[in-house]
Amino acid sequence: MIVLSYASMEELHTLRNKIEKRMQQDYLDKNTEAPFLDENKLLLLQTLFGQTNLPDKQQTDYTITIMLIQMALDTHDKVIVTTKSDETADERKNRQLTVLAGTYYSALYYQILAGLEDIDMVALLATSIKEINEQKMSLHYDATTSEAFFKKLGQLEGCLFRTAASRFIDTARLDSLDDYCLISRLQQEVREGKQTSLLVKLASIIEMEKSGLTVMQVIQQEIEAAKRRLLAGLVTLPPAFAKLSRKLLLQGNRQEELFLEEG
Amino acid sequence: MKLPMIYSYIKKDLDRIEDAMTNTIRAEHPVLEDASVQLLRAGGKRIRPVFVLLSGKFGTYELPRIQTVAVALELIHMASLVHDDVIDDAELRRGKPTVKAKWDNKVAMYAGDYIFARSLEYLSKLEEPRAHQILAHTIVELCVGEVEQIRDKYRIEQHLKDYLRRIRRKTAILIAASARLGAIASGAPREHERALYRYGYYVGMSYQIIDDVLDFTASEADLGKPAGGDLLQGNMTLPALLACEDRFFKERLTQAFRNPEALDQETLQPFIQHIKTSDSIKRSLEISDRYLQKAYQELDKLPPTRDRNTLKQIARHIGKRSS
Repeated sequence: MIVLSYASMEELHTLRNKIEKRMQQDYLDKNTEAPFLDENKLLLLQTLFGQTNLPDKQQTDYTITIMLIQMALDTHDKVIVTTKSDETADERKNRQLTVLAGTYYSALYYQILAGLEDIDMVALLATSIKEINEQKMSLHYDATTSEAFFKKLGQLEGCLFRTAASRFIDTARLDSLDDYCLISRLQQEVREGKQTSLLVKLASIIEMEKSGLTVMQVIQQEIEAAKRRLLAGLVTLPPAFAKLSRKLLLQGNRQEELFLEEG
Repeated sequence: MKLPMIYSYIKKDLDRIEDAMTNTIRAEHPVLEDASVQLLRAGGKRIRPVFVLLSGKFGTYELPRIQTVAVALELIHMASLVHDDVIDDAELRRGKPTVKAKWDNKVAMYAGDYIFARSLEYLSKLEEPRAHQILAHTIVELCVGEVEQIRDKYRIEQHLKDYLRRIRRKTAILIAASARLGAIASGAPREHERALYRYGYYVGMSYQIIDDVLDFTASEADLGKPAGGDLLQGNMTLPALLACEDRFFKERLTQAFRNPEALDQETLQPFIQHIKTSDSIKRSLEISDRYLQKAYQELDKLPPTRDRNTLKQIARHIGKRSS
């Protein structure tokens, strides 16, 4: 997680609470794993809306909405590819509720925007969800090399942000933020260390490539490569996004992070 | 008379909706395209578009506007079906392989999300915030209904009102919303909109009760799956709930439900047989009929047109359907 000033941390904490409150559904909360709330993406959205003249409440509503979509899509990714023939009752319930949790978060996104009477934003984000699912299919079926896999994953991870940003700012200089999103996603996969369907797919590619590397080694290599690309792209990014990206790049290097935070 | 015959005079408009649905779910990725087309070809009664179109007749009937609602609602329904098949681990739907059976759960999840997104994108052409608010609320309720269905699985101690609340959310409110949104899209008077909403709600309740009855009484050929599937999944539908008024039956079912993993078609056969031969089927149908009577009463609040008569015939058909 990126190190922030106290004020920024407070703001992030408040936003996090608001998202969690909006998602609350007693039975789902008790019986499913809480979806991962990617704070790097949250910061990216905060930075985006900070560039606009939107009122604070609208900025918050949009941020919550987009994060809900992200978590809806991520939750559906957790559904097991093939149902096990010897599935236990608990596993069955978990599979069923995972499907419903994702759908529930999606429904909330629509409900928030419909409440705001912001039908243009409903359409814009629906277009993005549509594209993301096309890209997921492509990742699932068409990625045959690890290079293609990471390229597709980067585009997929950045899609929602890019689409949302296109409504408010010129996105021509934001291409390298796909790498920001990719780094964040891969770091998350490393942290969790679970056998997700994404890693299973990557493992099958690596096996075909016969590189002798493990999945985690390949991911670490890609994180470093994406960091290098992001660093090279800093000059083209608008200043606020460049600052945020620098923080991600310096993650883990506390001295430099503090220096950066204090300007 | 078969259901489509009742509303044959709107067939041309329904065909337009079918075409629009086909065009709307076109996808770039071939597997996504195939999965979506398979879902569409599996057909269905298209009862939601029918309600949208007929309700639209009570205002200014402009097909492009009404079509927007009809297409979006049916696509939302389709998206929920493809996800339901993952939830139920269903191999067949209407006698044909499900998306999850032909491909896998992942493809079914992506196809459902894709179709849901397309439906919202399509519906966004309708600049009527109230319609979006109603639909969004309906979709949230639909999800909560499904979550409650899972929560209540294998739970014998349920009240009739638990069941009714569940089917309200699971089925009735989407049908009610179809009728209401058709009215809104055509700018029908508010009192007609309300009557159509309630009509849809009561018809939806009746529809689901009959569905639950048919799950016990219909043949495997008609259902496209073995009978008693609801009970096998631990769903306490109305016939099962009413049968539980017999203490002996209830005790045996409680015991059987204690070990859900051991349940199969064979172990449940005596329970299914008991439900079929007890009066719980007849009583379920009586409750369904009470909802239908309420639906007719709502129709009396509408002007006496051919469309009102068609809605009445549809309700009557639903009450008598055997598959």
